[in-house]
Amino acid sequence: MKVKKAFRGKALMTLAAMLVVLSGCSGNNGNNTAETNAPAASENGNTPAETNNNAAANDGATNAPAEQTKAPITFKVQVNSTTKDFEGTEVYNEIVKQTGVTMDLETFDEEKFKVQLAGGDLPDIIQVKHINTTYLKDMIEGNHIIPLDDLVASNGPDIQKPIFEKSLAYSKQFWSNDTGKLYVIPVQTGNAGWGFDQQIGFNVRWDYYKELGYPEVKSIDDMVNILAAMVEKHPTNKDGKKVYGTAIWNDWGTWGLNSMGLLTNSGDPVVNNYTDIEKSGFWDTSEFLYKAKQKGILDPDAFTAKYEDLVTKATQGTLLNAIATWPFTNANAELLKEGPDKGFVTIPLDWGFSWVGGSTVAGWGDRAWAITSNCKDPARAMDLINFLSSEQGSRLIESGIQGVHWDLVDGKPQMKPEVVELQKAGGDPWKKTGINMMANQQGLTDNTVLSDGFPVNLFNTPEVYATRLNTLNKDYSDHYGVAYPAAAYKKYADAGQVKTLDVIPQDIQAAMAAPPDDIKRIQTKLDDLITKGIPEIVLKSKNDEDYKARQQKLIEKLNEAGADEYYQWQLKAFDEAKAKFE
Amino acid sequence: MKKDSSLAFDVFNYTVQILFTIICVYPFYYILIYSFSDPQEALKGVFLIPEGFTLVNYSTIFKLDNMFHSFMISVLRTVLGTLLTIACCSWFAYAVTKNELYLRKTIYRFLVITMYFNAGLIPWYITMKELGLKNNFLLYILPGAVVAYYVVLLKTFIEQLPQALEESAMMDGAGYFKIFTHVIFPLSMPIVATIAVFASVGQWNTWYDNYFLVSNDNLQTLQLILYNYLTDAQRIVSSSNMSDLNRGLASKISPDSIRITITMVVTLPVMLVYPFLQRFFVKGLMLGAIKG
Amino acid sequence: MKYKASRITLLLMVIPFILLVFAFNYIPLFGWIYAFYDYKPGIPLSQTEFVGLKFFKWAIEEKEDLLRVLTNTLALSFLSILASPLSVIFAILLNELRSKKFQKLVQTLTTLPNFISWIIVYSLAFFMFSSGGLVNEVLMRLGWIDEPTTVMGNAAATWWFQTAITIWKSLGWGAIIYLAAIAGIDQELYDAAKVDGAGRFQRIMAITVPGIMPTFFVLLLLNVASVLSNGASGFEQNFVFYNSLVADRIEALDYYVYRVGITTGEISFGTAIGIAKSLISILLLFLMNALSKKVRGHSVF
Repeated sequence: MKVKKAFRGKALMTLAAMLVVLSGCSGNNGNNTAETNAPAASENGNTPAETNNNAAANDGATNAPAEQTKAPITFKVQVNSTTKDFEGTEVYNEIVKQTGVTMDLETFDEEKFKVQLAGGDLPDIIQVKHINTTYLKDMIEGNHIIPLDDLVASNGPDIQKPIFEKSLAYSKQFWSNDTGKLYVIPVQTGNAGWGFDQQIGFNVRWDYYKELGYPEVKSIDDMVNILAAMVEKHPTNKDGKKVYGTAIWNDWGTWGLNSMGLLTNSGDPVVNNYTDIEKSGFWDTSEFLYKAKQKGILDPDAFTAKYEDLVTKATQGTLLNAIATWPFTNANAELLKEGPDKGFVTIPLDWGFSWVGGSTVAGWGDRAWAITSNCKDPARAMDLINFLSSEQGSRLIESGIQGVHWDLVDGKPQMKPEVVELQKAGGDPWKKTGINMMANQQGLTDNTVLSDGFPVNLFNTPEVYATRLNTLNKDYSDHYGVAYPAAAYKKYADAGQVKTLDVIPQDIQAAMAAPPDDIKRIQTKLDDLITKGIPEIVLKSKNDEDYKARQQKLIEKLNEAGADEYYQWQLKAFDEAKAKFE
Repeated sequence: MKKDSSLAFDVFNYTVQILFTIICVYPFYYILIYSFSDPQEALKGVFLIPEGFTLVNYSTIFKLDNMFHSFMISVLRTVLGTLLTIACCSWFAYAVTKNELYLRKTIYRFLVITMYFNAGLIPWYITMKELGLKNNFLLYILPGAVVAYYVVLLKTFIEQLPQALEESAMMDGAGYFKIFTHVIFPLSMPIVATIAVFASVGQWNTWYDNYFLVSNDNLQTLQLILYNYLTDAQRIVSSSNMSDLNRGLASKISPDSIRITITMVVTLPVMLVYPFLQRFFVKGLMLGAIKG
Repeated sequence: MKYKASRITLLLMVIPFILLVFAFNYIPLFGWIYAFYDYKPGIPLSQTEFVGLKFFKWAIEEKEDLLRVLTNTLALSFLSILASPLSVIFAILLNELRSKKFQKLVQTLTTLPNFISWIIVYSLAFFMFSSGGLVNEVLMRLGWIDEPTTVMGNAAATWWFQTAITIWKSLGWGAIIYLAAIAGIDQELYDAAKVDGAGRFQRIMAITVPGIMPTFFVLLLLNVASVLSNGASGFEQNFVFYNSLVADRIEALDYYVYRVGITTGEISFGTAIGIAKSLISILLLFLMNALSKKVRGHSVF
């Protein structure tokens, strides 16, 4: 019995990340909006919420009064990315209390999903994977999921609010298999904003960067030169092992080979990523890695390493750069003990792209809610979805329970200091709260400003950020003259020097038709060619002319395999989707 | 002269065995000490001793929900499943060695070619469901009762047993079943033991039937509990959304430590069973006794 | 009379097991029909488009890819078949050890690799063979090499490296079967040979080896028939060791189906390839069987 399991998840990273990805940790976007709304909130006379009160701090106008207790019911809920250890946490229990619904959680796994779908055994409530698949269409045609229009009218008061109007209209238009009915309800809609710090970027060790005198980073060449200088000054780690400048990880499909594109993205909604050398993420990464190789700082395992291998290298101190700080998390914890300014950070560039921000009505892809035909009580299912999508539910998921984790202070909702400490400390006590464990299921983004004038995620305020600064963050922020790390980037974005997801029409991208089979075949071929072709070019090119010659050869091959055809199809699909928006 | 070459051979033999054993054991030793190492420290490199000795990996696993019950289920399925498999396969194998069995060749081929087809996950699921094996303990032991590979091994072994033994038993008026239980089966101990080892390890390690077809809490196997725990740790890494990644990858989950500790937890019981079965690999002991 | 009655009894006693085999192996074959439709889970076949041999044609159209993939599959399978006598030799050597206690210990310990899952095998391999790994560190400190070796990214070494890993993982475990076979050999044969003055080596060649032959031969046949499936000891091994540098040498049929299937009609395509593989394997099996009849005088199946 051959069962190909468990690894598929990683492989699915391929196109999804580049085309329809929202990003950026949410942050407090509207300094102004918050202030102007706050006085209104405190004046409005609603008593500060008691622990059991249904309504969050509000302006008294729209939130529903406390619901009568509904009969308890248990649903099998299949969720994307959220794991079963969320059950039993404080936030989870609160959801049970507020809705009467106990969720029997099952994490989404594509193999299992296909089997359930084929056998007609889908759980009661699911989140639909619709990117690059025909599941949505198949489920609608096969009557596996039910239309939600009537249910929203009867049991979805919060979903009926204006804030969801566009999202629902979008879903009816693009995610209904042309039936015009509402089948799925998007999650994480709204303004994405910035986070506390930028994880993706030009990563280096801050103390090494200092040592070199904070050199300017204006191009890929600069990046390579800076890394080369760092390697020269620190050629071995503590145990005498050789140190290398950079590497990518290779087990997320083509993500690694495309990674430099995250910083150099041109901002065009559709790009021929395979052959357009100027704008292609693949070719920018290739250029970066080639130049690194020429300087002798490319890790020999660069093209064979998996993500966890990079974590090992980073922790051992033999790697000085990767496209994100994620692999360096452990290393940073150790380095901080060695010195106040030791650790890996991303250097804010005043050019290029920053994969943050943006605002969508489509929300996070692959996670829209649907109720299946197996559900015995769709009305109660809608109760649950309604709650999770609502202002109150979103706030609960990201900030916890009012009165327990956050409270109204002078009429302004604020995280309790001890909870902020808990978050910093991490570990089991923090996990027990359940805060931030259901992010893939909340209706509104962390950064969305609710009717009380404050964001969904109350951790994302400058005050809380200030308490999160460790010595490294502080040193970094001071140097750039900002209050917290991400602000160093935000400066350039606000000044228009750096593009963000704000310029990418993510909603149109999410509305593009799924590619037909022959186009998909071409794409598989192209991915294969480029995955094998670029490492060869990077490793074997002797000099710049050689590089250009090999590059041309590969581009010819890609064109032969249909690169242009693929690109033309994408343009067409984009234009068609765009037309529907106007 | 003979003695010298024999000695040389012995030295060669022992050397080769020791070298190969080291190659086999060191990796296992490595993961043993890794499992006792602090997950963060282990990333820096583990060689001969645990780095930052800790029992936290094991305690986390033993605190998982349903551990004891699932352990019992796994033991139950292993024992019952293996016994059933041995009984069915050896009887079937014996029957197929009898030339007088109608359609013998066809039946045997009917069995053997099953090793070469596999229609896929979905047809398997649907079949099991339609046969009523969803959420049913029988799912764990019935499908594995007749395994073509084991039958082949058994048949080959049985065919090599001296004909005389069977014939003399038949003379004494014994029927097929009696011959099987009194003559064939006892003499086949070595190969039966082999199959017991394979079948029990297979049963112990199987999780996918549980994963796809059994949701009943009372029927969860140890393997599935551990598998779920592991995939939960990996889940964040497979998220296709950048915000989600920022959220999750920044935390200190180390799937490697979990994976390795699970291997230890799962392998140790098997290591205990194996020596118990080794005593059946005795050279032709029974054979000589009966002949005499 | 008695004989015929017992023949029927015998058949009847076998029928339950035939039914079991049928239920769990043949009934699922209804799924082969998916290969002829543009099957999407959730949509009943009656509403699905019938496409005939489309997916079979697809596979053949990608000639270059298919050829490359088949080469890898066959190469890796053959290397693994070539290595199969090693299990036999190992079993014989084990058997010849004077100390039974030592034999049991070695036997148990050498089966350990079998229990290590492929993902961990990869981690171990990375720990050993990566540029900063143990082997390179040792070799560099000894001064034998200047630059680290990158065997895991070395295309030319792929077949050998993968086969070596397969051997490491399955040698001890595979020897179990042969040890059982040796245990089934009549002890008296050995005694008689000793009396006749046969030396150790002669005893091995004259008694032990022929005693194992039938088992070895049967397994050999089974392995040859499944030559399209193995390819680097199966999907998992292929999956964990796959990277862009060795891709062209390591990618076997099952992995190819998986990779292509991620974006394209995977179930139908996978089923089509599965059908082809099964038919070819069964054909090979009967061919080898007929060959065996000619060469050795009796057929195995």
